[in-house]
Amino acid sequence: MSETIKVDIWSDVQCPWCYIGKRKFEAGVAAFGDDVEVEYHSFELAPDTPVDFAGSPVDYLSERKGIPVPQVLEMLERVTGIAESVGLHYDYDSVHQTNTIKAHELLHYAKAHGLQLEMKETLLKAYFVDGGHVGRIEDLADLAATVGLDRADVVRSLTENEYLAAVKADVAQASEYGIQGVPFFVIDGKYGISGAQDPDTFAQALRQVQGERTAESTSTTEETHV
Amino acid sequence: MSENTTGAGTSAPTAPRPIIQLLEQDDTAGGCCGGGSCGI
Repeated sequence: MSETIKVDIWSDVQCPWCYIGKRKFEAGVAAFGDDVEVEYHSFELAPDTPVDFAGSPVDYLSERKGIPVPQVLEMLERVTGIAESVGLHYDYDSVHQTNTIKAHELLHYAKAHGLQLEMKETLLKAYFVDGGHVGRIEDLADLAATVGLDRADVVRSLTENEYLAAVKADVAQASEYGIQGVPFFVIDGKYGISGAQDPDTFAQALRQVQGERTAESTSTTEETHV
Repeated sequence: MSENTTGAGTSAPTAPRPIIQLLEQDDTAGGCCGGGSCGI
């Protein structure tokens, strides 16, 4: 029997396409029909953003990135519509633009405690749907407690920057892979898929990897019996 | 023959290349690069 296929996903908590891509990937895995092991990795889209940025995503994209407001509004309307098509109800009027470095540290903390997938979903929902703040330690600790993590220990970990080096290692790995945007999916450590692709693309990629593994396994067995 | 210690005349460094193989996919699928050019 072959081992479970591993998928490493680079993503940021404030990346609207990452949440959409997450849903499409999950649909792709369901269509694939077999288990996969998923691990999320850190990618910072806006590391220069203050934790308490006094403005909305519209302000951020127009003021910091120089995109005209009408264009920003058009972009957000488009992405909100696509999110809706996969069952996600984005509420950009409530979004708190912030720095996500601590959220990434929390995802590493959660991984160490076996709850990374739950934490990832909770952070994305908090940011895009519920109007939560995913930059402040106290707010992150509240969110962590909802998935079963020890709130006080999360505060300690984030205050001590316990997983900051792990976040930076993920960012460096992304650079090594040539990743310039997210979401980015690495299947079996060798195949890359960029962006919020349709579920079929993920399912086909997983089938391809599974097929290659089966072929390799058959080949090895035949050699053993020569 | 003298040793080239300045780097002059050597080929220019190239951008890092992905060490993974990109699978066939839709190039227009949404993604975020942080600069706005990727659709946010």
